[in-house]
Formats: sequence, C-alpha cells, structure tokens
Amino acid sequence: MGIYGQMVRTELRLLSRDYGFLGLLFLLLFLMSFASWNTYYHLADKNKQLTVQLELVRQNDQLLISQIDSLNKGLATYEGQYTLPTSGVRLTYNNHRLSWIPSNAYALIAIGQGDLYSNYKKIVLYFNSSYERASSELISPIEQLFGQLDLAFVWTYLLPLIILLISFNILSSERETGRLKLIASQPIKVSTWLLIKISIRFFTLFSLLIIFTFALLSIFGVSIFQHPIEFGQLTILLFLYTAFWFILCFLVNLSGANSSRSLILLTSIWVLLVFLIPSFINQLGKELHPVPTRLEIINHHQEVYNEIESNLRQEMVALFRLHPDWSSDDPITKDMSNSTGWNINFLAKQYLAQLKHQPKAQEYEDKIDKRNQWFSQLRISSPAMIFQNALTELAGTSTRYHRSFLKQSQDYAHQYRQFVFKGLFTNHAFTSEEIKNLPEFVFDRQQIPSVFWPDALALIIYLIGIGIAILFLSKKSTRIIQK
Amino acid sequence: MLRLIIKKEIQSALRDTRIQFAGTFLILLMLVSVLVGRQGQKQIQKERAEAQATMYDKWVNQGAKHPHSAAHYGQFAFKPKPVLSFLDLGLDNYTGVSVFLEAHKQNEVLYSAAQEGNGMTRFGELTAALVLQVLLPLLIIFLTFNIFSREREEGTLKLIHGQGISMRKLLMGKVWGTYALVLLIFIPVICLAYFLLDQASAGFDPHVGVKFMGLLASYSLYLLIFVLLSVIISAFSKSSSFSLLSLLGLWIAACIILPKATTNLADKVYPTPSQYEFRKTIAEKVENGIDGHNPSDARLADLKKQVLDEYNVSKTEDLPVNWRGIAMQAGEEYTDQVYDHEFSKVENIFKKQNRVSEWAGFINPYLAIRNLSMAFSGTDFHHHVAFVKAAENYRRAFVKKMNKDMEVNDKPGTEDYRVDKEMWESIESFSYEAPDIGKIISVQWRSVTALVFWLVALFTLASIYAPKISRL
Repeated sequence: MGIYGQMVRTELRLLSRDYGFLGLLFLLLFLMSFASWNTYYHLADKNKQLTVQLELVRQNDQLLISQIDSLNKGLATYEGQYTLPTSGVRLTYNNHRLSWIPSNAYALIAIGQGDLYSNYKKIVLYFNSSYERASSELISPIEQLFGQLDLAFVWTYLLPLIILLISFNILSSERETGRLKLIASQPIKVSTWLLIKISIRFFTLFSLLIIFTFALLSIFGVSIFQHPIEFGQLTILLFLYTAFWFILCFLVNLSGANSSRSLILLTSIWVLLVFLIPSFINQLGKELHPVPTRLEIINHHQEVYNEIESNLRQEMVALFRLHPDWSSDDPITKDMSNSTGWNINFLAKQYLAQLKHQPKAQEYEDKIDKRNQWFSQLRISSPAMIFQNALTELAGTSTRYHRSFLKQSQDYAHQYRQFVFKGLFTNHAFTSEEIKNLPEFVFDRQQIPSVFWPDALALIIYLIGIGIAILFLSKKSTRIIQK
Repeated sequence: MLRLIIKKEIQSALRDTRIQFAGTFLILLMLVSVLVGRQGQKQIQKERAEAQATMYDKWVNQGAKHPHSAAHYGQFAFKPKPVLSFLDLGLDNYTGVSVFLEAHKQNEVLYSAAQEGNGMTRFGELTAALVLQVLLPLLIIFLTFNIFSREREEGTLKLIHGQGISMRKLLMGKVWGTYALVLLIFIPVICLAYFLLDQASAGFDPHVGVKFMGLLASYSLYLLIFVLLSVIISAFSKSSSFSLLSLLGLWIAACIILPKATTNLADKVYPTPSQYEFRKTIAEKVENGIDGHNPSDARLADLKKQVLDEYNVSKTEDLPVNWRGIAMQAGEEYTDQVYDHEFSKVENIFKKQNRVSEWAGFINPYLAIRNLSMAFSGTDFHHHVAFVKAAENYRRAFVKKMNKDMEVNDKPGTEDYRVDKEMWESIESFSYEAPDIGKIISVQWRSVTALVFWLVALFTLASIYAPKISRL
C-alpha cells in the first residue's frame, strides 16, 4: 500500500472516531428525516384536498348524468332551467370543472411555492374574483414567512454549514498543534495532503448524503426506479453544490489562516451567498421591476363591463359574428323573463367583458413574467440561488410551474366556457354522453422547458472559478505554510 | 476599574481592522436597507391611498341605482402600509393588500406580494430587521468569541486575576464594552430611521412614535442578550475555537433552524381546515343554521310572522315597509354570525400556532424579538386581523345602511326605486386606525417576558459563575 492508500485508511479511521464529525453527520441526517416527514405531510394534505375536489366533480357529474337518464326515461320531471338536468343553465351553475397540477415524482424534495397556492383550481363559467388568480389554502402567514423546513432548505442552507464545520480547520489545527512540521517532512506536498483530507471528507459526506436521500425518498414513496433520470439529476446537483463548498473550504485552508479566522471567513462567505446576495437581488428586483397594483386591472374590468352593458345590442351582434354557431332563433334564448334567456344575456356580457379585458390583464401578467425572468437570470449571482432554483424545478414547485399551471387553467377555462356556451346559447339539451365527455384538464409539463443543464452549468462555472483561485493560491501556499 | 475595562475593550476592538470593516459594512447595509425600505414604503402607501381614494370616488359617482344593487357594486378597502414596515416587513408580503366589500359575503384580503412574487423572495429581503436580528448577532459572536479565551490562551487572565481584579467586574466590563460597540453600530441607523419617520402617516397610526420607542427598546434588550450570552460562553470556553464553534452552533440553531421547525410543528399540532372545508361549513351553516337545526326557510318564515304581527297585517304586500329589505338585513345579520363563528375558529387556530412561537421565545430569544419587531412595526398577525375586522365592520355598516334605506323608502307600490350621490356620499370612505401600544403589549406579553427572562437569567448566571472563570 502506497503512502496515499495509507493516508486514506488513517483518515477514515480518524473520522470514524471523531465525535464532532459524527455528531454533525447525525444532525444532518436527523434534519433530512424531519424535513422529509414535514414535506410528506404537506403533500399528503394537498393530495387529500385534491382527491376531495375531484370526487366532488365526479359526484356532481354522476348525479347530472343519472338525472338526464331519468328525465329521458320519463321517470322524473323538473321545473325551471336551474334544475332541469339537460339545461345549459344547470350545467353552468352546478357542475364546475377542476384544473389541477399533479405532484411531481420528486415533489418531496422541495415545497417551494407550494404553501402559497393550492394544487387545484375551480373552473367556473361565470366571472368571479378568483378568475385570474391562483387559489390558495388557509395557512398562517407566519408559517409562510418562516417558510417550510424541507430537504431543499436543509441542503441549501444547512449542508454548507456542516461542510464548513467539518473542514474549516484541517490545516490550521495541524499547525496550531505543531504537527504541520511532521507532515511537511513527509514525501508529499502539503497541498496534496490537504486535498486528500478534504476529498475523503467530501466523498464520505456525499456518499452518505446520497444513500440517505435514496433511503428517505424510498421510505416516503418516491418511485426512484421509475424516474431514474431525475434521481441522476438530483445526484449531479448535490455533487456540484457539495463540491462547491468543499472546494471553498480547501481554498480557505490553503490561504493559511488560523482556525478561528478560517471559520469566520467561511461563515461570512456563507452569509454573503445565502443571505445577502439573494436579499439584495430581491430588493433590487422590486425597485427595477415594480409590479403595478391590481387596482388598474379591477378598474379596467369594471369599465369594460359597464361599456358593454350600455352598448349591449351592438355587442351581442359582434358576439354572434365572432361565434356564429352560438346564435339561435329559439324564442327562449331571447326571453329575458326566462332563466335561459336571462343567463345568456348575463353570461354573454361577462364573456365579452372578459375578451376585451384580456389584453389589459395580459399586460399585467407580462410584467410579472418579465420580473420573474429578471430574477431567474440573476440567480447566477449565488450558487445557493442556483441550487435552490434547480431543486424547486425538479420538485415541480417553482414559480414557473405555478404560473404555467395558472395559464393552462385559464386556457382550459376558455375552452370549456366556449363548449358549454355553444349549447346554452342555442338552448341545446345536453345529453348524458356529452356530460361524460366534457373537456377535461390535463396539465402539460412539456410547456415548461427544463432548466437543469443551465443550473448545472452555472454551478460548474463556480467550481472552475474556485479551481482557478486554488491554482493561483497553491503557488503561494507552500510559502504561507512555511511561515 | 469597570470604566477602565470598558474603555480597554472598546479601544482594542476599534483597533481591529476586521471589526472596523465588518462594523462599517453592517452600518452601510442597515443604512441602505432603511433608505430603500423607506422609499418603498412611501411609494406603496401612496399607491394604496390613491387606490382607496379612486375606489371611493367610483362609489360616489356610480350613478343612480337601487340601494341593493349598490351593495353588490361594493367597495374596496386597502390596507395602509404600516409606517414602520420599512424597518421590518414582517408578514406584509404574505397577507393581502385589499378586500372587496359587498353584500352577503365576507371576502378574503387578496393580492399578497408573495403570491405575485417569485421563489427568490423566500431568501428574504434586505431589511433593517434582517440585519439587526440575524447579522448583528453574528458580528457580536465574531467580536466576543475570544474575548476571554484569548486572555486565557495568552496567559493574561491569570495576570489580571493576580492584580486583584474581580472576575465579575472583568466579565461585566467586557459585556458593557462590547455592548457599547454594538450600540455604536446600531445608533446611526436608529437616528436615520427616526429622522425618516413619516409623521404624515400618523393619520392611521397616531402611536407611531411610541411604537418606534418600543422597537428601539426591544432591539436594545435583544442585542444585550446576545452580548451577554457570547461573553459568558467565551468566558467558560477553554479555547477560542471551541467558543466560536459553540456560538456559531447556537446562532445557526436560533436564527436558521428553530424558527422554521417551530412554525412547522405548530401547524402539525394545530392543523388548519382546508379552504374548501371552511367555505363549505359556512355555506352549510348559513343554509341549515349554526346549530344545524335552524334552516333558512324556517328562519325566514319566523321573521315574516314576527314582522306581520308587529305591523298587524296578513301579507307582506300590506306592510308599510319593504319586506325584502327587512329579510335581506336579517339574512345579512345571520350570515355575519356564521362568518364570525367560523372566522374566529380559524383565527383561534392561527393564534394557537403563533402562541407556540411566542412561548418558544423563552428557549430562543430570536423568536421573541421577531414577534416583537413585527408587532411594533405593525406587520404582525394581530395588525392584519385588526385591519380585516375594521374592513368587515365597515362592510356591515354600509350594507346595513343600504338595506335600511330599501326597507324604509322602497315601499310596496314604489316603482323603479333608486337613490343617488347624496346617499353614496353619506357613507364615508374606509379608514382604519392601527392598534395602539397598549394593545400590542397586551398581545405580545409573552415575547416581552421572554426577553426580560433571558436578560435576568443571563445576568444571574454571569453573577453566580463569574468567580469561577479564573479557575478554568
């Protein structure tokens, strides 16, 4: 066995007896377990709510289908359009749809924006205040402020701290205890000696991290073998982020500072990358890309609606020109004393207002997208931001996912509205077959391009940057160490 | 002697270039965060005040219409941006901004900044609170971790002891010396913040000056706690490295891990109902009665009988008042009872969750200062609830006025009854006054006590164990 092999064996033996090192590993594993449990319950609760909502829609549809069948068989009679099962009015007000965002396979790793929004949205045919925005759950704002203790938090914030604590004094402690001279007398360069020591710590921690992540994901029901690519991506991200902090420790060790100074320096870098840069960018984003108040949007919608009401005759002509298949000669559709006629009039005004209001609403959404784009680009300012973004993307809980879900929900609502209105406006009697085949929402992940490689590449660039600094410093290191 | 020790500590810290750099950096950081925060607060407050005025103008100029149509046309209440929120944003990004006030239902406060924001906001924002609560304690750790251990390592501690200087005096000298340095960093920011206080906003918060003093006192106590804790740990650590590691470990636990863990656990212990369950319960209780045995039909029939008996007539058409107006107001009042019942249930759950973090202040002073800072800055949960209640009271009053007008003036036989601007103007624009200092302290007494407890405990500990420092 060569000198390197001997060194590795000795180092591993020393680490296995180092209670500080073992304690920190245990702490990391404990926090990861707590975070997984916390996220698991969060997801279970969300999925439970979603199941309740889907079941509600199914039961409503089932009831409507059975009532249509009873009506057709002459087994039941209904008075009024609001209760008549074949009526478009009944379908409009009683049978809402649901759009929902299914949990990603790796949702367990990051709650992300998931505590701000519901994972489903009720799609109704009439306009209401929730039309343009995401639904939310009842949650204490204090919990939202402090955020969720999930794996993403443990890895982004705490993993670096644990790395700093196990590696800050590898070289300095040898000097402070007088053993450095002994090491320097060995036929090995001090920088190589340091590299081996850090590498052993890195591979020990990283291997345990991956094994434990694998175990936790499996315990909490993540089907890793069905999604091996995502696990591979997670492993790459963890490798790069962990390597970044270890290499940073290597660099600081190499600078020759004493233990306390090394720890202060590393903690300061951590504060800078995890707290100061992200919070500064947040502040800057708010100043450079202020999002206007929703007041303008609310006002605009009201104005458009009033305008349509005052010009209703011409507006209705325009509507039927736009949708010729919605026009009907049936007198019921023109009779305002009848609920069908009244609702055609009422819903047509809302539909037209929505169409006219859309460009203004889109302007607002574009501003939010522009700001998000800006934030997204600026994430390269800190590896912590890149890593956190990559994890929420992998978990499917990032802002991009939620905004895409909202957009897809609105598109679906528009499509469903057009389907029902065509029947309602022509006083069409809906059949049970049509109810069974109502347009369904399907969340399309393909609309959200993956940002895994840009994130991984940005982390690699950081590694290369520190690598260059190390090369520069290693030339001076021997002199520093000799001092 | 005490004065000499304090002087020596200040002088040696001021000579340290790292402390000079870190101190200046923190001062600059706080100054920037205060200036930028103040600018943002001013801008948002202006926008909200304008929005409130615009919406009220729309209400006044909505044209002639039936009072019930006007109740559905509704109004908006905008939450004023708290004057001191430029120092601590607190929950401001997570609670909504405005609420639509209309007949029959109590809407949610909507459009929170977080929902319109980006995932990056989860890293926090650069505010004075972040610097004072998280970064300044870190500087205190860097200032004090070797304040005793260095003397011990260099052998000067024995020398000092040999000169007959009491260890208690030495410890307190180091505490007050460090605290003086911390105040040196803290005071410029406080002066700037006081200078920037917007007295013009005192309209909805006349107690802003007293709250500012409360904020100042809370941070002064919190920072003293951190100084005491750090000096004590340094005094009883055998080496500087051990002292630094212990202090950093405590800082990570207190400022990074425990706040999240505490609130997440509180949510598991006191779970909130889902939005759907909450709304469904309200709808069911409005329909079937709060106790489930008082359906709306029966309630309406009872009311009808009562009104007909009162006016001694047999049918509603013969009433000298509008029956629909009476029925609607009765419906409103019953719905209000249901909303009060259900909202208070959720509010109590949130309060119980918050109480966990308030009690946790006795374990972790960071949580105590976080709660107090938000409360004095007007950005805590209680301020949000106060706004929601004020908006709801306003809604109830204006809807009641519409219903009353309908009941009295839209009598049977009146055709196309409408009211005009005079009526709309008789309802004043929504205004809200934030809770006063007495209310804040009555709600936050646990956090105040937690800080005092920490201070007393640490002073006692220092006093009892100080003589043992020289023996280590």
